[in-house]
Amino acid sequence: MLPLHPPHLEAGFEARSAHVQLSYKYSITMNSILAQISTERLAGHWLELTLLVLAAFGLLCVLSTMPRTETLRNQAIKWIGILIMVGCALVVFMQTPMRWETVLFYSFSGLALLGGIAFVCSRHPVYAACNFAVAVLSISGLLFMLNAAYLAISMMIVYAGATIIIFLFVLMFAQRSTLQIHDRGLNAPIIAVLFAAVLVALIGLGIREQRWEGLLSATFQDLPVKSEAKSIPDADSVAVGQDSSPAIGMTTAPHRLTVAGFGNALFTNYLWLVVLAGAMLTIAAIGAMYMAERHEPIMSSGTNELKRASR
Amino acid sequence: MIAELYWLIPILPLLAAVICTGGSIMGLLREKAHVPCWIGLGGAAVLSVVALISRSGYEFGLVEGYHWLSIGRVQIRTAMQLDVLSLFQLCVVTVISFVVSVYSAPYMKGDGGYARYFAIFSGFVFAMIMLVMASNLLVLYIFWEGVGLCSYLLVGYWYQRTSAAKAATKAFMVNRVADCAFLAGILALSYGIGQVINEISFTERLSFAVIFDPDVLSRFAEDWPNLFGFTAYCLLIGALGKSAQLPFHVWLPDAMEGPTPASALIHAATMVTAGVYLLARMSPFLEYAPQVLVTAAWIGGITALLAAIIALFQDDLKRVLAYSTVSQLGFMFMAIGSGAGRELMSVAVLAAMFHLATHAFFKALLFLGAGNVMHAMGDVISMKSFSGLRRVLPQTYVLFGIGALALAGIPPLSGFWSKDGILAALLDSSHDRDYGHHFQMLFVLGLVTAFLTAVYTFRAFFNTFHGPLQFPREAGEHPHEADKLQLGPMVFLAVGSVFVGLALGPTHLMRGYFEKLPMLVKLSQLPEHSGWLVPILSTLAGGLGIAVAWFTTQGVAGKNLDISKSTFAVAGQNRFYIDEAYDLLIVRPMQSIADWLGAFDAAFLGMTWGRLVRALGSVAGFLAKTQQGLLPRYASAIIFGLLVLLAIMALS
Amino acid sequence: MTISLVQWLMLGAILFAIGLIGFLTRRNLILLFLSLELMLAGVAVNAIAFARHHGNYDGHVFVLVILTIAASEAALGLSLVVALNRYRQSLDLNLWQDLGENQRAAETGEMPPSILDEHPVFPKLTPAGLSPLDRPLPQDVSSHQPKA
Repeated sequence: MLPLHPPHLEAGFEARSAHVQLSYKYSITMNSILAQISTERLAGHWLELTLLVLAAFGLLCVLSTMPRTETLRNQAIKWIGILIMVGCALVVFMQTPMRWETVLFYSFSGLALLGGIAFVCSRHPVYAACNFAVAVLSISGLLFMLNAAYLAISMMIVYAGATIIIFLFVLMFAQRSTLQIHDRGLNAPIIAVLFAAVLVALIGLGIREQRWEGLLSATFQDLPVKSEAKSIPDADSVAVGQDSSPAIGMTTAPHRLTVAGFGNALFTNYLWLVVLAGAMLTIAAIGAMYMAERHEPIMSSGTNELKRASR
Repeated sequence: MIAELYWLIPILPLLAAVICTGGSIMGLLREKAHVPCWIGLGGAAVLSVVALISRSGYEFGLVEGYHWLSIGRVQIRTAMQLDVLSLFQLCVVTVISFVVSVYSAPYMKGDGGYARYFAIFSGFVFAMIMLVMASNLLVLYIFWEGVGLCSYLLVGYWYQRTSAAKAATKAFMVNRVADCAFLAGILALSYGIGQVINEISFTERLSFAVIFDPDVLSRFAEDWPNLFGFTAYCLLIGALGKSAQLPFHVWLPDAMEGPTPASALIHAATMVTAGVYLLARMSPFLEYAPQVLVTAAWIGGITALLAAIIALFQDDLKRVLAYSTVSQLGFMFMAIGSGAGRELMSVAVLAAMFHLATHAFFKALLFLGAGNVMHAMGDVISMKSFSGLRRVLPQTYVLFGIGALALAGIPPLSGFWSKDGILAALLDSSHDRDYGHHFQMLFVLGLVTAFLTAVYTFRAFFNTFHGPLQFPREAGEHPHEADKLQLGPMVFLAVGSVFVGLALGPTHLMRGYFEKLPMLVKLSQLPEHSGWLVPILSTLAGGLGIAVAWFTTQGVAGKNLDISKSTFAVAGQNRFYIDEAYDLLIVRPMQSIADWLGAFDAAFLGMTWGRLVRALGSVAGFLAKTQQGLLPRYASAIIFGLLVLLAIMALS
Repeated sequence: MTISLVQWLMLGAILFAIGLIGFLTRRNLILLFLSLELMLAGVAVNAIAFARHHGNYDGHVFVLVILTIAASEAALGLSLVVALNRYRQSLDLNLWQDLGENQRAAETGEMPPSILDEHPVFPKLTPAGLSPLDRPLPQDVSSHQPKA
C-alpha cells in the first residue's frame, strides 16, 4: 500500500491528508523492516529468489574471470557461470506455457539479456559496443511486441545506429591501441553484482506482493496485456480521425496503441514537450561542439601532469 | 543652500580614503596618491570654513543621515550635528589637515607606501570629522576608536622598523585602557538617562539633545549622585587617554616614530584634541560635577608642569615638541577644569577651544619645521648632532622662530592671547567660594609652566638654529632647504600663528561666536574680566624664559654651567622613569600572570582538549578515505540509498 | 495465458541491473556511457509496458524524452570524454580522482601504469599475422586476436 497514489484518495485528492499519510507511512524503523522480512514471506518466492541468486552468482563468475588471464581454471569458472545462467533462463522458460508469443518474448528478452551480459563482461571495448548493439536491437524487437513501433524504430536508429557509431568513433579516436590496462580492470565487481541482485529482488518482491498497486491502479493478475493489440496494426486500418479522441489520461478502457495515435498525442497534448526536446537537442549540439574544441588548458593548475611537468 | 552640502564634509575624505586604498591595493596612483587626498581634504576644509562663516541660525543643527543599524530595540541612526562647537573644531581639523596633507606630498615623495600613507591620512581625517560631527555619544565613540585605529596605522607606518611597530602598539594599548573606561562611562550614562527618562531607546538616550536636557541632567545628578560621578570620571579618563594626560601620557612621545607630517596631524590638529573636544562637548554635563572638573584641572596642571620639565631635558627635537604638546594639552585641561567655578563653564570652554585652535596652528608649524630639519639632516633629529642651522635653512629658521614665539606666548602672537585667556579663566575661577583655592594654586602652576614653556622651546630653537654651524654625516655635504610645496603650507600656518589669536581674541570675535554655545550660560551675561595683571605676568614669564634659554645655551652660562649630569636632569632625560614604573608595576605582573595562564593552557587544556581534537582528527582522516574522488564509489552510495528506499517501499 | 505485465517489468529491472553492474565495474569512460544507455533502455521497456497496460501514450512520451536525453547525453558526454582524454591521454576512469581526499597517491607517482609503460611500441616488424602489441600482452588478451 504505497501512499503515492492511494486508491481511496484518488477522487478527491487532498494534499494535506496525503502528506499525513506519507509521513505516517515512512516513519518506520529499520527494526520494523527487518521484522517484515520474515521467512514465511520470503518462502513464498523461494523459486524466484533462488533463481536470482544463482543467476547473480553465475554473472559474478563470468565477470570475475574477465580481468584475469585465461588459465584453464578461469576458463572453467567462466563456463560454469555461463551454464548456471543458461540453466536459470531455462528454468524460467519452462515455467511458462508454450505459445508462439511467449516464445517470441523469451527469445527477444533472452537475446537482450545475453547482449547485456556480454556487453558487461567483454574485455574489448569494441566488442562491448557490438554486444550493446545486440541488446538494443533485441529491445527494439520487444518494443515492437508492445505496439510501440515508432519508438522501436527510433531506438534502433538512435541507439544502435547513431550512438553506437559515435561511441565507436570516439573509442577509435581516443584509444589507438587495442587493449589498455583499464579495460582489464574492474571496480568492485562483487559489490556491484550484489547491489544489482538486491535491486532486482526488491523490485520483484514489490511487484509480486502487489506493493505498488496504487501506482498501477489495478492488480496485475486481472489485467494481462490485451490480446487484441498483439499484432502491429497496419497504417491503413488506422485512420487519424478514428483515433482523434484523446488517448491521454487515465483511461481505464484498453486502447489500441498506434503510431498515428502516438503522433496525434504528441502534437496535441505534448506539443510543448516536443518543442522542449528539440531545444534541448539544439543546446546539446552547441555545447558538444564547444566542448570538443581544443581550448587553452583552463584546468592547467589542477592537473597532475602539468604539475609534474613543471617540476 | 550651502547647508545641503554639509554632508559632503565627511564624505569627501572618505572618498579620498577609498580611492587611495584602492589605488594602493591595485598599484595604481603610485605618485599621484596625494591628488585625491588634496581634493577631498581641501573640499572638506572649504566647506567647513564656508559653514563657519554662514552659520546663520545654526544653533543645534542636525544633518539627518540614514538608519544604520537595527538590533531589536536598539536603533542606531547616523545623524550629524553642527553647532558652534563642532563647527569650530571642524574648521580647525579640516584646515590643518589639508595644510599638512599639502606638506606631506613632497615630504613623503619616493616612499614605498605613498598611496597607503594618503589613504590612512584621509581615513584619519574622515574619522575625526565624524567624531566632531557626531550627534550621539555612541557614534562619537565609534569614530573615537576609528581615530585610534588610524593613529595606530600612521604611527606604525614604517612597520618594518621595530621601534615604530612597538610605538604604534603602545599608543594603541594605552588608548585601549582609557577607552575601556570611556565605554563604561557611556554605558553608565545610558543607564542613568534610562533611569531618569523611561521609554526611551538606547541610542536616543545617548544623543546629545537628550543628555543636555537641563531637567534630565539635574534629576540625574540629584537622584543618582554616585552614578553621575562615576560617569563623569569615566568620561574624564577617556579624554585623558586620548589627550595623553598624566597617567596615559606615555604614548604620545613614542608616537614620534611615525612620519613627521603624521605627527603634526596627530599632535597638533586632530587626535589629541579629541579629548579636549570631548570635555568641551560634554561641558553641560560636567557642569553638574565640579569635583570632576577640579580633578581634570589638577591633572592638566600637573601634566603641563611635568611634561614641561621633561621637555627641558630632551635632546630629540621631535620629543621636545611632543612633550610640549602634552604640556599644552594640560593647559587646555586646566582651562576646561576652571569651569568648576560657578557659572564659568562657558568661559572655560571658550578658553580651551581658543587655545586648541591657536595651538593647532603653531604646533603644526613647529612640527613641520622639525620635519624640514629632519629632512635636511638625513633623518637625524638629535639636537646634539647639529647646530647653527639658520645659515643652511634660513626660511625654516624664520618660520620655526615664529612658531616658537607663539608657543612661548609672546605678544602679539596667537599663543599669547590664548594662554592669557586660560590664565584669566583660572583667575576668574579662583574667586569661587567652594573651589577657589584650587585655582589659586593652579594659576601659579600655569605661570610657572608658561615660563618653562618658553625655556624649553627656545632651548630647542637656539640649540638647533644658533651657534656654530655643524651637521651630522647623514646630512651629506650641503643640506638643502625644503622645497616650495613644503614651505607654502608652513607660511600659511605661520600667518595663522601670528594672526589667529589677534583676530579672534581681543576683537571678541570668538567670544561672540561662542555666544551660542549650547546649554551653557550665555557669555554675554558674564562679567568680562579685564585688567593688566594677567597679560603682564604671562609676557614676563615668556620673556624671562627666552632670556634664560639664551643664557643657558648660547650665553656665558651655557659655557660654564653643565647641569646635564645632575640627578634631576638625568631623571628628566629618562622622563622621570614613568615608563619604567609602568613596566615594573603593570606590564611585568601581567606578563607573569599570562605566563601562568599559558602554562596552565598548555598543561591542562592541551592534555584534554588537545587529545580530543587529535582523536577527532583521526576520525576525520578515516572518514576522508570515503571521499576518494572515484566515480563508482559515489555511484555505489547513490545506489545504496536507492536500495534502502526500495526496501522501505517494497517490504513495509 | 499471455505474458503478464510482471514479466515485462522484471525484464526492464534486469536490464537496468545489468547496466548498473556495467556502470559500477567498468573503468573505460566510454563503456560507462554505454552502461548508462543500457539502464535507460531498461527504463524505456518499463515505460512502454506500462503504456500498453494502461492503454495510453504517456509511456511512449516518456521514452521519447529518454531518447532525446540519451542523444544529448551522448553528444555532451562524448565531447567531455574527448576533452578529458586530451588531458590524461587515457580513457581510464580511475585517473580522475581530483575531487578525492588523498591526492598524495596520485602525486607521488603511484598512478596506474600508462599504456606506454606496459606496452612498449616496438619499431620492428613482427611475423605476419601478429600485431606488434600482442607480444608483451598476457595470454588472455592475445587470445582475442587471430592466432597465427
